[in-house]
Amino acid sequence: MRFRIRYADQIVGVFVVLAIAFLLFILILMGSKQRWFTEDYFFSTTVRTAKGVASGMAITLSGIEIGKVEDVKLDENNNVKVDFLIFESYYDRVKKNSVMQLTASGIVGKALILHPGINNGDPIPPNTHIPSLDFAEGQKLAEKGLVTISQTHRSERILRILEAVEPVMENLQVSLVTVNEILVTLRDALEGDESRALGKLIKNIDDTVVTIDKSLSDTTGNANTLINNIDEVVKNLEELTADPEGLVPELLGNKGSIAKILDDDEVLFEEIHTILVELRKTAEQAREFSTYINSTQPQVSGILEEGRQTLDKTKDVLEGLRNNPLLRGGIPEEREQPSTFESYRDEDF
Amino acid sequence: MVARIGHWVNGKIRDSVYAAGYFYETIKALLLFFRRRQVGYKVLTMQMLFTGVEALGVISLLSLSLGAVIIIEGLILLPQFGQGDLIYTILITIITRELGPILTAFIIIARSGTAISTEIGNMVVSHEIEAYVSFGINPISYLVVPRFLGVTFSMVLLNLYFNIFGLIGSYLLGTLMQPIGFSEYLNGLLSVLTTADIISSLGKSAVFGMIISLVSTYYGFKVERATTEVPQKAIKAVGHSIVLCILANVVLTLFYYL
Repeated sequence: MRFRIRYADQIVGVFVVLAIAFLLFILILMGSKQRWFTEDYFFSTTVRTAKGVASGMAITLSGIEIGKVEDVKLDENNNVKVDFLIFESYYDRVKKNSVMQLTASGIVGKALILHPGINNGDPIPPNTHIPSLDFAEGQKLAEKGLVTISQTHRSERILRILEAVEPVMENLQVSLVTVNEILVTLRDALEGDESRALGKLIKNIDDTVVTIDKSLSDTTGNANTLINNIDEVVKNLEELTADPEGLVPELLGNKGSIAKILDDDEVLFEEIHTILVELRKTAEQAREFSTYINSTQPQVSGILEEGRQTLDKTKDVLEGLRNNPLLRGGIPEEREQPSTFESYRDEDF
Repeated sequence: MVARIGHWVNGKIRDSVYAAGYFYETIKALLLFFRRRQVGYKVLTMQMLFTGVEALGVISLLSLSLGAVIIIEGLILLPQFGQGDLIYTILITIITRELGPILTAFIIIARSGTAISTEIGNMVVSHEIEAYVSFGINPISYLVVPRFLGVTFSMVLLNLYFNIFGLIGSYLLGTLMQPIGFSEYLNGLLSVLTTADIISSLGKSAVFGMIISLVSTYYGFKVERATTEVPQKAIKAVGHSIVLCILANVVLTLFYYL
C-alpha cells in the first residue's frame, strides 16, 4: 500500500492541524494588535469645532496614543460632542480635573490631547464628561493650576511658531545679502571701480556724452560752412539778376532764344505732330503683327510637336535597323556635306 | 416553436426540483453523518487527502507567484503616488478576500470536481449504485456526504494555505527588493486585516466547496447507462461549478460591503 494511502489519516490530520494553528496564530496576533482582550473606558468631551476631528483619531498624552475617538456629533447647544475611549493601560491617568485640548498638529491636522488633573486620587469613572480648553470650565481649571498643561505642549507650540518663522528669516537673510551686494556695487562704482556692472554703466554713459559732444561740434562746423556757401550762391544770383545786360534778361526778352523758339509760326509744333503720327502708325502695325503671331502660335506649336514625334519615330526606326542582323553593316556611312553658307561668325577674326 | 420552449422550460423546472430534492437529501444525510460512526469517515479522509493535501503543491505555487507579482508591482507603482502603505491593503484584499477563495475554487473544480463526477458516473454505469442500494446502503450518505464534507473542508483549509504562501511569498520577494523586517511586515498586515476579511474569505471558500461538491456529485448521478455520458456530465459539472462559484462570489462580495 502506498505511503500516502497507508498514512492518510495522519497526513490529513497534520494538514488540518497546521492550517488551524495558522488561523489561531493570526487571530491571536490580530487580537493583541487590535486590543480584543483589553478593556476600554469611554468618556466624552465638547469642543467648538469638528474640523479635523474624526472617528478613529488618536487621543494622545505626551505624544503617546492612549485612546481613540469613537464618535463625533452635535449636542443640543450646537457644540461638538466627542465620544472617545481610553485604553485600559492608561485609564489611571484620567484623574479628576483632567481637561481635553483640541490642538493643531502637523500642517493642517488636529490632535486631541488629554491633560491629566493634578491629584493623587482614583481615576474618574467611565462615561464622565471631561471639559475641554475650548470652554470656560476647562480654562478655569487650567488657570487655577489644577491640571497639568505640560511644558512640552507649550514648547511644541513655540517650536511650531519658530519653524514657521524660520523660512521667513531665511528669506530675510537672502534679501539682506542682496541689498549688501547692491550697496558694495554702488560704492565701487562711485569710487571709480569699473569692473562691476554699475561702474561699467556709468563709464558707458560718460563715453556716450563725450561722443555726442564731439558730434555736435563737428555738425556745427559743417553747418556754418554750408551756410557760408549758400550765402555766396545767393549773392551771385542777385548779381546775375541785377545786371540789365545779363544772361537772364537776354533769355527772357522779346528777342531772346526762348521767344524765338516759341514764335516760329508753329513750324516746330507741326514737325513734332508729324513725327508722333508716324510713330502711331508704326505702333499700330506692330500690334497687328503681334496679334497675327499670337494667332499662329498654336499651329507653330503643333508643327513643332509633330516634328518632334517624327524625329522620335525616326530614331526608333534607326534603332531597329541598327539592331537588325540582316542590315547590320549594310547601310553605307553617310558623309557629312559641309554647308556652303557661312555666316559672318564662322570667319576667323 | 412554442411547444419546444414549453418542453425546455418543463425540463428546467424538473431539473431544478430534482436538484433541490438532491440538496435536501444531502443536508438530511449530513446531519446524521456525525452521529453514525460509519465507514463514511474513511471516505471523508481519503477525499480530503485527494482534494486538499494533493492540491497543496499547485495552490502554494500559484499563491507564491501571485503574492510575488503583487508585491513587485506594488513596491514599484505605489510609492510613486506616495501610497506605499497601501501595499498591505492590496495584499489583504487580493490574496485573502478575493483571489484566494476563487482561485482555490478553480483549482479544486479542475482537479476534484471532474474526478468526483467521473468516478460517480462510472459507478452508475457499472451498476455499483444499484448494488449499494440492494445492500441497504444509502448512496447519498456513503458517497455524497463524505465528498461534500471533504471538498468543503479542503477548500477552507486550502484557502488558508493559499493565504500563508501568498503572504509569505510576497514578504520573501519584498525583502529582496526592499529590505523590511518581518515584524514590521506582519504589523502592517495585521493593522489592515480585519475579522470581516477572515470571515469573508473562509465563508466564500466554504460556499465554493459546497457548490463544487454538490454540482460534481449531482452530475455524476445524472449519468444513466452509457460510458460516453461520463465525460459529457463531467464537462457540465465543471462549467456549472465555475458559473455558480462566480455568481456566489459576486453575491458574497456584495454582502461584505453591505
